[in-house]
Amino acid sequence: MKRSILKGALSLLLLSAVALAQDLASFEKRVTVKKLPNGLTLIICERPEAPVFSFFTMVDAGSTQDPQGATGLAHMFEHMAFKGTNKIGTTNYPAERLALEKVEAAYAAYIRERDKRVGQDPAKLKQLEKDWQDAMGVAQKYVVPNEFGKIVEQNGGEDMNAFTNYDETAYHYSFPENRLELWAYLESERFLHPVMREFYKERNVVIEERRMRTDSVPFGRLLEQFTEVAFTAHPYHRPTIGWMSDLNRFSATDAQKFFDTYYIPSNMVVAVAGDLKAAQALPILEKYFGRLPSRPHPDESPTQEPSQNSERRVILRDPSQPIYLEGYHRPDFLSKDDAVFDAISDLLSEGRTSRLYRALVRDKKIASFSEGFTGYPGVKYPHLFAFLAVPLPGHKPQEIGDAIHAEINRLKKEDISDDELKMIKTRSKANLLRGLADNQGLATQLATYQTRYGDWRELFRSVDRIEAVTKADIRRVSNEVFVDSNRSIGIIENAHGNGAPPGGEPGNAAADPGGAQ
Amino acid sequence: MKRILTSLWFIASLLAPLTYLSAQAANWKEVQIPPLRAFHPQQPKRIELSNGMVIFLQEDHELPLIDGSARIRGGSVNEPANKVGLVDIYSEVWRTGGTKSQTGDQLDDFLEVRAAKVETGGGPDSTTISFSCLKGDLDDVFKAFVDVLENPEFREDKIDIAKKGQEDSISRRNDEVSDIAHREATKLAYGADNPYARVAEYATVDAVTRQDLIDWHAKYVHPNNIILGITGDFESAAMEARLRAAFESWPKGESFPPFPKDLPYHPAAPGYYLIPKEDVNQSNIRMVALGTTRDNPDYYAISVFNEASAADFRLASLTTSAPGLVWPMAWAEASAPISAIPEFCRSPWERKVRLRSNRSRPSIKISIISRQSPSARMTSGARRMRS
Repeated sequence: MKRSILKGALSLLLLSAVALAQDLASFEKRVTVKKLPNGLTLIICERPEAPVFSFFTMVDAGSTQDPQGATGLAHMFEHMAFKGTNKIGTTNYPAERLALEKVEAAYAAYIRERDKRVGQDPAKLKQLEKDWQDAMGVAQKYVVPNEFGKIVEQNGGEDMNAFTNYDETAYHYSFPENRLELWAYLESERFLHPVMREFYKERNVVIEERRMRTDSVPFGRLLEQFTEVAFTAHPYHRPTIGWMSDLNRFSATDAQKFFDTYYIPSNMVVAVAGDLKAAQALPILEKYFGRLPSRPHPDESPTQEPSQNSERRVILRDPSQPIYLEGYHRPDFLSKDDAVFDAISDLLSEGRTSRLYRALVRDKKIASFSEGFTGYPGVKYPHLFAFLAVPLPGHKPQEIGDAIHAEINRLKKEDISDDELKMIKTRSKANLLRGLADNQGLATQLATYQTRYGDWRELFRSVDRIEAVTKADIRRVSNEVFVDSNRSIGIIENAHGNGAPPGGEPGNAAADPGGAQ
Repeated sequence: MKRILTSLWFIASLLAPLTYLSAQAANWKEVQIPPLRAFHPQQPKRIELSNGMVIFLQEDHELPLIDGSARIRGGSVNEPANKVGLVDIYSEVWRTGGTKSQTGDQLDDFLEVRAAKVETGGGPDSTTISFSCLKGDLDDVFKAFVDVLENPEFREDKIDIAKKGQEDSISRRNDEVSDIAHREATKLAYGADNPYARVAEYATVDAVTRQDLIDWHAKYVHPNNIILGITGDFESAAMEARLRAAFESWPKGESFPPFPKDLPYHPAAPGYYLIPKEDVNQSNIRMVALGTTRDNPDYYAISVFNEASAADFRLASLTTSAPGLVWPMAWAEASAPISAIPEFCRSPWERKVRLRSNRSRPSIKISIISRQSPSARMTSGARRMRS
């Protein structure tokens, strides 16, 4: 009996190993990589399932690169990349360009006066603000609103979106296969001739985004404060969305400068996956993306985070139910132990067999949700391995912290079981396979691994690295990293006391909407 | 000769793209768009068992994986008003509560070591049970799938965990403005007693018993009330034989109409409804009105209208000068037949619009959650709309 189970497990491992080897071999045949003379890397993955393709443009610059005093600028530029070019979104670009230059001059004059700490002239300030508003009114006359997005949608574009995080900025959508050249034109043109039109209007959109995601959401407020405390020196301590005063200060000129510095071809990987043939697609891509001028690589050496030597704690007393968060500093993604952290995260969090679910949700019944995860807030620089848990009504955040620390102590003192280790390894293989089944996911993963490791094949090798993790590795890394003095804690405590009955003000109004004013 | 011909062909094939390439577009309108490749997607195989169970099989040999999902008619719309939350609890404990032969925890261990999943879920109109596995594990995982489908045990310890989770959600439901706006706007549109709008309370969750879950399963989970779809790396003939062996002898049960009848609709009077909240610096606006049902012959016309209007909203927002009225999002709720398709979301951050398509006079209700008390202008506006 026991033998047949072992045999079964062995054949399972063999099966997935063989399947994966086949997959890497099949991808070797289907994936073409080309680094252009300007430094930009193109990846083409042939997947002729349906006559569509998806792409992922990854720019190796994120909010970590925001200049001092201009937090939020990387994300702001991401919004501007949808505003068109010198040919798209304008009725008359030469005239618009002059009008936009006047907007910048007027804005600079306004900001100079606004930010004077001594001798500010209110009348002059009002006039300068009006001059700036008037200049924007003039520039606005040349704008064809949202033309870039309209072209994409009218040609069948789907899921057009972008994101900015601490490490990178990325753009993506999907198109019918016969629009490959149109896409190559649009995507290269947007980074060849970007125009900072409607900048200050779009800045208001970003300010509302900050209010929506951070200021008006209890967990958003907690996360911002927690991250700021966990990192003291490295730019990871600043919010990607930006501080309000910076959002109200930086200019279109600043955004253009950010673009010129960081949106250089050698910082960009463009991956396309879907119904295309590399032999035909590559010349088209080369033709359009080859137009981007090469520029020198910026000098990037952000301040390194010094090692932490005392526990830090943030407590928000909010009209909200409690949440518990803690994080420990760990080395960056190139660390030899990177896969060990992945294995620990899987062991603690994946599914109902995970240790945190079983301890906090199933057995102690003190949380509705609990996980440990790595890669916060980014991976490119030393970052955090973090724990998050949502206490059940009536349970204090401290109980949650104690229960998490008990699980951490188990990791430090006892080897994990054979079954657990096997589960982690099998799951990493199956998860890789499940991620290969759609164009957008493929383009995203290929571009990401190519950017981070310089080789998309690392996507497949990541499974080998998990396969090499031992029980001793997990104990060793846990003992190195999960140390009290390396810990930052973030807690939301209910301002009205934990476990307050629901149906406060909004609930009451809700109970009788007809009575709302 | 043959070789020369081949070479010529080769050169020609090289030249063709080169000629094509020399015409580099200077403007997006100049980019050539060749005809779209013909596409005839493989249709799934439809099988109907003698007991009424409908099965769709779609082979996909790209990756060594197999996924299946069964959808069962009947959802939270059908739960009693004094037990709101029943379907949420049922659809969790259906899986976590295990089967007659193994506990949920044993199932977890059995499946996770194979990186496989069997999961259950529930919504307003249906419940689901699904599986996902590497193809080599199909025998093991399919056995577990059938066991959960047919023999759930709903053990008390897991009912307790599910209820605690429900209570936690209730306690947190006023933490975020968007949750409040969604819940209250839905109540305004449908009336608070409508099954699409009502929400679980501590008392209704507390009232749910293990017997309720057993009764629900006995009432709804019958072959003639199920559609099962399987996709992945298998041969259809073998899969069909497997499914027939598993399900053909399952006796028929009560069947249910596709649309629940006689639901109560008590939409609120048109007007502005304000919910003050102090700890936010942004308002959340939703415009709502009753929509239509999926069996409306104009359903697809309305869907197209919804898409077009959503696009218009997006453009309008870019030109509007109202501060903050930006960045709209739009979607259609496909799961709830009554939630109309004309549904937009835009705001400061969110505004939902539901247009009534079957009435001559549109009626719109707006609920606003704001940190500010209603201004005189808004109050007068509300009065005007009500008069």
